[in-house]
Amino acid sequence: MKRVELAVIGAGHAGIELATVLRRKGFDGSIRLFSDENALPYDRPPLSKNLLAGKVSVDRIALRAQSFFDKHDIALSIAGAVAELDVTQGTLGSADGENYAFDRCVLATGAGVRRLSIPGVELPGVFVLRNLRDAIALREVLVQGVRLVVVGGGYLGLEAASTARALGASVTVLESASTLMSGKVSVPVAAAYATLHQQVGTRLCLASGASRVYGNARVEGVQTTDGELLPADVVLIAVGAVPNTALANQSGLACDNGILVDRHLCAVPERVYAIGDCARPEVADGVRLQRMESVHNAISQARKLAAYLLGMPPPATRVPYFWSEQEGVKLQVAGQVAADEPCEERCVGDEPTAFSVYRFQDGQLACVEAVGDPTAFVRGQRLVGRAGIADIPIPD
Amino acid sequence: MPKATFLLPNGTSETHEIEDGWSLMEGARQSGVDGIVAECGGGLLCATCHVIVEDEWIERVGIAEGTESMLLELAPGYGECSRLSCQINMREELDGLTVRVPDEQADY
Repeated sequence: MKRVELAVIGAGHAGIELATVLRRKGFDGSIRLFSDENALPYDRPPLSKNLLAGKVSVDRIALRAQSFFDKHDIALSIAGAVAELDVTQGTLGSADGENYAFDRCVLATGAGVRRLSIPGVELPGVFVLRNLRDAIALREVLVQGVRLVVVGGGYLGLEAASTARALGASVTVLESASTLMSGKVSVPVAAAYATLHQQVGTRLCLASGASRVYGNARVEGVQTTDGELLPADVVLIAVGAVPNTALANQSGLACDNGILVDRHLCAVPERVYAIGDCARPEVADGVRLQRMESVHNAISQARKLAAYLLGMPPPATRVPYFWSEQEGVKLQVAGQVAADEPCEERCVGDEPTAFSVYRFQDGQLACVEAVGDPTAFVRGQRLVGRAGIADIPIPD
Repeated sequence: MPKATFLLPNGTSETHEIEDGWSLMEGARQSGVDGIVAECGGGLLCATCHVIVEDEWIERVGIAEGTESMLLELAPGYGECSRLSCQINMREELDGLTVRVPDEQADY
């Protein structure tokens, strides 16, 4: 059986950053990354934007070149999913038939598509968008004049809708909540993006879901929960992501909307850790937040774990950062609001294309959303968690 | 194919060919150049692909403007010749472009 000091299951943003930082900080033990995608690790955000649009090729979005892995002596197995993980023995079974004994293992398995179990989702012409393969398949069918229905008005669905529209598709978005990006952005920001999408002809159906996909040999349309029939050539299901916890579950690790880890990102002391979209850490004794699905979070956790594994002081906590781009307008969100607590908001600037929203909770600036306003983002980002309402001169 | 040279914090330098039309950041990433983090992947949404363009090249490359200039305020060691490498597109006229990779990238 082969031996590796650090096995990292997952070669997405979290796994790659972990390996990178460990080497940079002088870790010289053996590292092997396992990917189930049979592709060099890639940058995920372009899958709904430039890659989907055909503006960049697959090799252009590679996170690292092969030369990087060679130079830093990071082994990479991309044959397929790790099939077995034995936490007690400290072994795993790789897809290419090799077994590895490890000293420590990090799960960075990410998240997968949340499935919609309505009739017709198995019909040809129904797509999801999570991995490179999904994006390549979807890219093939987004041609001039194609009728696309996107089920789900969150970030991913909206970015894909925007990309599709620019390629000449006619697009309808179904969102079951009453606003876009529900629960993720303020009402002014959701409304601004609704305007931006509608201005270019994308149809938005809010408070509306998909009850079934219909068609004979392939997709012919989607029936909404209001009963309306929406003809479609292509349907994209984008109703969220779920953490990839199957391997963790199967190996006996505790999971609850993510692999449960402590504040050091540890699941089993000295043995198993988890980072990125798949992980759900404690932030304080007994306190767990919902997982944060963002590249920034994956990178933050990777850096934190690297320091911990090396016995180094933790890096300074970073203010959460999420961004999106739809209809050419960038959204930058620094910080986050606690979902079930009151929030005061101040809006500054020219909606919908250049404005920002400051969101206060408990008198403190909890979150800044900047739409087409990098100045506001740069300034606001520094103030999150450090300023109260009185500190920020904002016109009412 | 145009070439770019990266002067690294440790005093060494690396020269790499970069596909015409690719950004300097993409070329650096493809060639395994350390120290250019590119956290947002080139979307003009962070400041972690910061490089300092050598004096003799800055006129041909151009100085940062607008959003890029705003974001560069977040970059440690930012100065007049600073650019976000994701915003420099390689072309034959930039063959030989030389930039310095800063000691650290923004961390926010």
